[in-house]
Amino acid sequence: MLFNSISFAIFLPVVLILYWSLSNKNIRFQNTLLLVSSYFFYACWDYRFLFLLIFSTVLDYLTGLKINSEVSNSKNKKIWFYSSIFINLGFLCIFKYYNFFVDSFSDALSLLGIKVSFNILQFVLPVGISFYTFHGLSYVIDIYKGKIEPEKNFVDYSLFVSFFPLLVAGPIERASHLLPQIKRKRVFNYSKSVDGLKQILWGLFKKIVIADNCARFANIIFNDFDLYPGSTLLLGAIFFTFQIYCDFSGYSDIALGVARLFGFELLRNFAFPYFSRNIAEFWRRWHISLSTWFRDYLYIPLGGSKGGVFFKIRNTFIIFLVSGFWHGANWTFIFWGALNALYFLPSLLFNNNRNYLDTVSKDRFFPTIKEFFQIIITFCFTVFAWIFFRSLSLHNAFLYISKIFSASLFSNPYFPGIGLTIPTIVFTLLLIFVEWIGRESQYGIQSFLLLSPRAVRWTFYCLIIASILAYNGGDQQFIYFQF
Amino acid sequence: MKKLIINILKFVLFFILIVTILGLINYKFTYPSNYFQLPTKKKYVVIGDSHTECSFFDYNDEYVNLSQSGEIYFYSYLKLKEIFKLNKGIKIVFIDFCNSQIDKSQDSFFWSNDSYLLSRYTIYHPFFDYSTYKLLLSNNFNGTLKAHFNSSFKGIGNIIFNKNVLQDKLVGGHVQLTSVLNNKSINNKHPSNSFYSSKTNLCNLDKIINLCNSNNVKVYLIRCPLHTKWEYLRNDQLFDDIRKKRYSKIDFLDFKNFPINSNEFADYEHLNKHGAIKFSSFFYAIINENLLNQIDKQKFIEAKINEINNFD
Repeated sequence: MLFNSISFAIFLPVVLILYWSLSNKNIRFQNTLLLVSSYFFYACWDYRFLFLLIFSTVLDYLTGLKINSEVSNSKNKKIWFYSSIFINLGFLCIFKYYNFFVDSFSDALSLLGIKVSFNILQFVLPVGISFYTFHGLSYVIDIYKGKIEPEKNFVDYSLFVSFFPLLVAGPIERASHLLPQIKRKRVFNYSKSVDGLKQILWGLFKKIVIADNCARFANIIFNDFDLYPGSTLLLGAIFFTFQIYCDFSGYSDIALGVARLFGFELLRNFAFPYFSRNIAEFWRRWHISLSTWFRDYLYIPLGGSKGGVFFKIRNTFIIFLVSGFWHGANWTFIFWGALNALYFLPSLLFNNNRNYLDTVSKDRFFPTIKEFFQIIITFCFTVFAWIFFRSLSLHNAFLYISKIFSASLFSNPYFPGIGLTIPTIVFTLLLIFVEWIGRESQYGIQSFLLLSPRAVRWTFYCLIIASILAYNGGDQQFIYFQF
Repeated sequence: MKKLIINILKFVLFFILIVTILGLINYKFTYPSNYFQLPTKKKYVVIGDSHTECSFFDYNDEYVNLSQSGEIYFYSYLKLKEIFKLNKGIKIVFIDFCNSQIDKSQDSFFWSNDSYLLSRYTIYHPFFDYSTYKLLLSNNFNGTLKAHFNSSFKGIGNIIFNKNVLQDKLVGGHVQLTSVLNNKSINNKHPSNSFYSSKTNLCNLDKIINLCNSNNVKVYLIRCPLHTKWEYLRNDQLFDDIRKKRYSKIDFLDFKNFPINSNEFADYEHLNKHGAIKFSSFFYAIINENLLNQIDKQKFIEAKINEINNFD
């Protein structure tokens, strides 16, 4: 059930009306309704993996209780803790990485002249496994470290893991942030609901109008890149850059907006990353829930940026390589991670990584010339890295890049399907404009035209809806569903 | 919650208002009022889809080919309606009538092909009535909405950039094909051996005929030369039945068997430039020999074709 589908458009209001009609009753009814709805939502994807989700939920729930009850027995406590980690990551590795490891091992052996063949398992990747596994892991780790108490109510805990807006593609929530909201009585708030609807609208616009249409061109170009000149390949890379941003941040906007309709505030996942002034700032603004997860549960336990230069470099590479690997079982993702580590290291080593904590050009409309060039340069580095992310193999990625940096870079670009290219470019420029104006808000149109008369605001929203209906880019899957 | 629902309903009404305004903007400001005005000498109009589009070049000042590739009878009807309003000198209309047009696939082609719907909607939606919107929305709700908003945005863009949304090609006209029939020519759009007659497309042909009658314009159904191996000729029996039962009172000029060599076809159903010259020349010659006043026009045509065959 995609967020931009008719079935979801029916599912959401039904659940919403039932939910708020129970608001005067015991909170248990509301949470149970949400949990059942979430399982139904997940089962619409693939009912077979519902059992895996429930198993993972039960495992972490029991682990949390056991760890807390074994306070005096540190050995048992560790057994429970590491068993949970091992089982959760084990499922993730089998479903996501088994074939990758087998293929890579086989390729490595063949380089040594040893030919072996292993059984390749035809696994269907359970939707959302990377996300709900990390939910569970963060819960168990926080209990183990004594940061939170285990949740005794199974329904509440299950809802934390399976809440449908964030179930299949995040944001990756923390128990300390979401569980208190689940346990607290929610009261309907008109302003927050309107805000939620606006964020959903903006998310749909980014996903349907921009991401899906950019995807069409990016796919045409990347799939047959040897046919096109360097200028077109550069265009393809830029299309993909906006595709992945609008696809993923659009999904996150819809997830946050839907959650707000139910009275929940989820963790923000994107903070206008393409306006970043350096790579360190980019990583504070891109997929925030994942990068902070890795920071808190991997980087800091490894020592973080404490220790000597070697440890800083080591820890940085580990984080980015693991982050790349999290995205998928392909050397391209690992290379993408390594490249970002190389980008990040200078800031870290020169202690510039904590610069630019505020919004760019705060309280000003125009950036300074320095800021403008910083943004452009950071954007260029990002585009370059995305080429590896998008390519099917490292070989293809290097070929793609070599073609960009050839004489054909200065030839006229070829616009596949020019009739649709121009509206896509126009809407992308509009997106940049709106998000630049709204960069101090939670999402692009949150404060847009807020001081204008209602008719003006509503006309703007109507035009967004009209553009969604007019420029539907076809049923493109959300990119991060594959992770 | 009640306040939210009420405001959502108000917003929906506001949205409908905006939709209507967008449609009006598109129509009022981008459609020149004399778009369908033809030069006054035009008396003979050829209308239809790609078959007549490729087969007939404009012979002289009196003839005009307004056929367009992919045009189903619904759009031909709308086009003729506007043309008759502005061109009272039109005396005769030749309408393309061949085996593919009686086929059921024409109905779904009307509404199920999003690209087709989008391209035609932009030009013709100012002339749609309630029944047309109902037909399109009930058969392809998403595609119709997409076409409506897409054309509205194009219209706004054309207003801003002072462009005419209508290209001169959009009314129709003779197209010269330069390709030649070969092994790669497509001939499998209808793989099934079962053919069913169209409902909507034939109803719109009826409307065209009635429109012509009400404007005192003589109608001729015309079938252009077709390759003997064209796949849709498999429904010739059905075609013949429909023609006799439904259009027995309309003169039918059948040039299916006009001798065209394979290298004069662009594919199995369209004439290329050479075929068009050969056929058009023949057609206009027999028109000048008083074909339209013959009692048995088809016999006259066949006799003339036989003369050519004997000569060859």
